[in-house]
Amino acid sequence: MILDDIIIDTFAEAFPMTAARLILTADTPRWAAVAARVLTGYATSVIGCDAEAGVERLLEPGETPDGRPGVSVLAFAFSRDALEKALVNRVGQCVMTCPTSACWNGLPVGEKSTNIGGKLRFFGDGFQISKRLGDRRLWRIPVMDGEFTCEETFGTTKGVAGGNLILLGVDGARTLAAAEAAVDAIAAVSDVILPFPGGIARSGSKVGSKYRGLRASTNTAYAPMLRGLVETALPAGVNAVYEIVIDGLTLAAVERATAVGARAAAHQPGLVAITSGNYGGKLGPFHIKLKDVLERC
Amino acid sequence: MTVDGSPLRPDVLCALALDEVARVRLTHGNRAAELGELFLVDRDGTDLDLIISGEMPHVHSIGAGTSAGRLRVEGDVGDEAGARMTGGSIEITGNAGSWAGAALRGGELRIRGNAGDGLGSAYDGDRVGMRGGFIRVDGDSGREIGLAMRRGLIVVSGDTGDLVGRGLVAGSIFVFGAVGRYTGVAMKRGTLALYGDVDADVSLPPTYVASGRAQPPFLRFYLKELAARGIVRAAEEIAAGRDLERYNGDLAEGGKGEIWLAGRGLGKP
Repeated sequence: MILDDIIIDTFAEAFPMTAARLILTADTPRWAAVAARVLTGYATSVIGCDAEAGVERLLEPGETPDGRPGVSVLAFAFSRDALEKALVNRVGQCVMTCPTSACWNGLPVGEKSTNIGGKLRFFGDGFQISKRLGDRRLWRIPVMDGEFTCEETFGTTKGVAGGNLILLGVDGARTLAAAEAAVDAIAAVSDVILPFPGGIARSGSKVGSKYRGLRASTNTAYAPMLRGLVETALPAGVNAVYEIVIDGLTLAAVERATAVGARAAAHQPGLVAITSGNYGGKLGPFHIKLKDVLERC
Repeated sequence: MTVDGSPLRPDVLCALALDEVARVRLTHGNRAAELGELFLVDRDGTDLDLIISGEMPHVHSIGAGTSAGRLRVEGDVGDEAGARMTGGSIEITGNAGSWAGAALRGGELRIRGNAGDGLGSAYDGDRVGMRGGFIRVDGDSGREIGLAMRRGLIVVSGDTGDLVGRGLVAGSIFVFGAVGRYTGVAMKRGTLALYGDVDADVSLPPTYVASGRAQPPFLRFYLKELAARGIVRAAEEIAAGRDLERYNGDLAEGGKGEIWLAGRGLGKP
């Protein structure tokens, strides 16, 4: 079995994070995609961003609240307050500004929710209009192409962030191809996003730095060019490493994505090993054991 | 002879034993009668809380004030059906008289036939009418629907009379058929969405001003929700995908209300 040969018996260490799902719609798939792309920009890691966000999947008109083409986006932050602050800024600057767009809640609203439309409404300068249908309140803000519609309340849930696969390959091109195969396969898994560029991170990090004030620095053990200078985690013949970070609404979803991604990558030529990053089990409460999830999922 | 049907509420009757239901007192003309004298009372295996059968255009206030439970009336009813409801649901398979759902606070009232005047309206002397809930009429309705409505939703699949949404404070009224004159007069805020063949020059007061054409996301959202509830005209409008013309008004009341016309709105300046 190829999987048995290249899967390292280790685990990914993941953390709880507050999550929300936003459904972005627009008159055409192009503008829904633009809204989602801009909303999820600069949202790779909470190490340096206010939130982690990514596209969950594209939505057909029949799947969206207003019957237009849409994109489902997931966003994660360390607390509900932090998530609300990030989303109010991001929806206000990136979605409200985007032609023909609207923004809808994609999770059940319970006690734990965030107020987004209710804070953006003030942009309407007194001409904003509230509409309530059932339990859902919309805010309609007049803008130059008509109006921007945003739900007031967005449900949140305690998600799981930081699931990861680390792919070790013989060279950059083949390792990247394996990572792309994993990303493509994970795209079919619901309730997860891959927040890094194209779903792939090349600058994996370790905690801390020799420089004061830096919370993270390059993952020296996985940097091929540092062989011989620091303790390396790379087997012989490995010349490139890519990491796929997985954030999800549930632990089960992250586990499923981990298994799907590992299977898709494992069959690619030039891949030497698949491993996961952790902190010895001391930091994150969720331990996603690679061999275990491959058996279960 | 008229009958005050206000005790015919699912939240009241369903808490009683069958013999107690039969002894509930109703006002019948100018005297009292027991429910069992006027109705045949029985219990069956249906999952509905209360079913009332028969042609009862002389029985008024059926289901008025209902706060919970489900009532189905199989036939016509008199005035004020479901008035002042705060919750639960009432379905009338026939026609309803005037003031059906008047001063509604919550819950859902469905009239499969036609409704009379004052649907979901305020009572005389009240500053505010309907404050929540959902009224749905599959047929036509009379005049002055949604008078002074503050919150909630009224949907009429057929035609209506004059003065739709008079004095609306907020809330939404959807009409898929024709409307009469003076539509939205004295409206402060709120939304009228008119999908029938409506001529703005005839139906709207002169204190409305056209503000452009669009098919805004919130109307798409409403149509989708209404279609999901089985309102065929909403599904047809989704399929048609028409732009609507928006009018701001009533300018005599501040102009923050809106009327959306899918029909002939272009004649208005």
